[in-house]
Amino acid sequence: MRKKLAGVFLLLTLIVSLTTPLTLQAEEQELAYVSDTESLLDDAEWAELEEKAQSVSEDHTCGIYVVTMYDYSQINEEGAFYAAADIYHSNELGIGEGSDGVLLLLSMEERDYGLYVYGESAQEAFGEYAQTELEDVFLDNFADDDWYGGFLDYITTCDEYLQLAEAGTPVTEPELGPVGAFVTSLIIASVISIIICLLLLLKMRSVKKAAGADRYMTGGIKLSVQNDRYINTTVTRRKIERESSSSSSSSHRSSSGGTGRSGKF
Amino acid sequence: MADQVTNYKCPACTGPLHYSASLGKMKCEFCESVYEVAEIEAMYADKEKQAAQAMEDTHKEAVEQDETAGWDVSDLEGDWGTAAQGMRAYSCPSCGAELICEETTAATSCPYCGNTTIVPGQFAGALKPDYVIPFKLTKKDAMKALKEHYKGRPFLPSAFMNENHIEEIKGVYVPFWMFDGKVEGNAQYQTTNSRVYVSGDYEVTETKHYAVERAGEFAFEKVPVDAASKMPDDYMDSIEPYDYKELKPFSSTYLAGYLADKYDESAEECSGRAEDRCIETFESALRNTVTGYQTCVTAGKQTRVHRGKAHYALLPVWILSTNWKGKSFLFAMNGQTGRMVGDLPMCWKKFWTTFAAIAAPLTVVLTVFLLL
Repeated sequence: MRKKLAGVFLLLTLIVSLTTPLTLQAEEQELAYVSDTESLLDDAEWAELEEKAQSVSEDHTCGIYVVTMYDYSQINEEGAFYAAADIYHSNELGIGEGSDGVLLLLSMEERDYGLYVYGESAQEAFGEYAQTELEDVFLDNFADDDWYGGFLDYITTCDEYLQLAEAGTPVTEPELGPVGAFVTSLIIASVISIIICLLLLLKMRSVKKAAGADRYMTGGIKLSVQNDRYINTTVTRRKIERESSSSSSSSHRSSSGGTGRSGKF
Repeated sequence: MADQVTNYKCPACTGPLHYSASLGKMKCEFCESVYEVAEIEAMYADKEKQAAQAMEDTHKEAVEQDETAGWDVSDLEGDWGTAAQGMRAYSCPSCGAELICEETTAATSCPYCGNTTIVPGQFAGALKPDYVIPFKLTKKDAMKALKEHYKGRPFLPSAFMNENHIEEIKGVYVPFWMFDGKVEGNAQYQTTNSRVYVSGDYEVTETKHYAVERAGEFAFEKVPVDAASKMPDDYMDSIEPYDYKELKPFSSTYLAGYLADKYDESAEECSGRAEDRCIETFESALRNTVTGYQTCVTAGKQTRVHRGKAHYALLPVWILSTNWKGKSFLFAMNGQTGRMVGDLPMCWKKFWTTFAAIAAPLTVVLTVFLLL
């Protein structure tokens, strides 16, 4: 029950914040780290995740948030990422001077998700590559409607990435290295070279059997029947996804400086 | 008794006359006198008739006469086996030497005196070609064209160009059948046109389907197919086309100085190749009349060839042959237009050197690019 109340409070706060001048907003807000308005979790699961998210957030001074809702377009029609960004800033989420934090939003109507990362420290720990990796961690659970498993993986992985960032080795795309770069280049260069050489090889052959007799036609073709008959019309429809990428996810940057990803699960 | 073969001699000095490709006339090798083809034709008309008759008589005599008077030839082996099959023996009218030729040979040169020898009987009666295109290009032109043919071939072994010598170069009048006729047929196609538009949250693709039918015909004229079994078909196809404006009524005087064969593949045997080519062109032309559609799939087709006249012609070809590391290489040049064809030997060392020359710097550039 507590998780629902927290979620309702968060959404009400958001709606109020979007319609009320900033000066009237409450100065201190005690929001849950896991706001499950769609009741995807039972009380025990919620309590466990809330505690874990709070612990990770406080350990690393970087808020780790989960929000579930029915339709993100109630907050921002542009997409789940922008809705996540609005929720984050309207509720003044984030920890520390830089308001660092990561928010995962699930919109259940059309199974959309948005991942929003804000703050310098958070951006360092969750760069573009790390965001993609993080996404892979929870998407497989959500695809099976394993909400608890997905959120747990999300929080646990956030913890790992923050630890790595603190150790000075944030998750980044593995570098190719000189050997890797050389091997890759060699393969690409070899393919290009062999194509060029094979084209040159064709110049060594000039003998081939004739297939047509175009030059021996006299007067061109004379048509006696020229019948074009309409048969039917078929129509196929494909739903246009509101995100820039339909089935796969895509990366975004908000006007407030946050980055993240969104897509379907 | 008349000779079965004849050669053209200069009326001024009795030297051998050759058809000069560059002059388009008959020329004496010794006194350099030049004669119109028609003049020599008229001069030798009777002699050619006699030679053709003599050839027929010889066939009859050969059947009747099978013993040699006076000498004991009982040890001679009468059976020449397969080696003798398809061979003929003639006597050179200039020096009397015995000429052994293939039975299809219609013009050759005497290996002893070098004089050109024509076998008029090969082109007598029903075997007489309708047309001939005289040689326009000389042996020198053929050699020059071959050198040009070598240019721009990156994998041609350098030694092949530098050390290799053409073993044989011969101007040959190759027998061709030329087919006239008509192709008619019809074809059915399934075609579509699509348009894509956005309606609300949906992308809508509207596809209109059509059944298209076309029927028609076209005439074809003088589709050439070489009628000599020893000439590779792909080489003869590759040196096309000939300029038919220069087709001339056949005269054996054009053969002087060149080799010539009579056909050994009948019009019936060769017509299939011409028909296949015409059908291919007809189907393609019919398909090209289906326009205004985004997709077109052939659903069915029926084609018929109406056979017309088959012409028999001799067309000029320069044949050049050489050996390279035990392998024969053949080149053919259109004796009228100069189009040269012939597959060339490969230097795999050059191939892999070129490969490395492209791949190595490209690898370096790409590696630097990836590491930056």
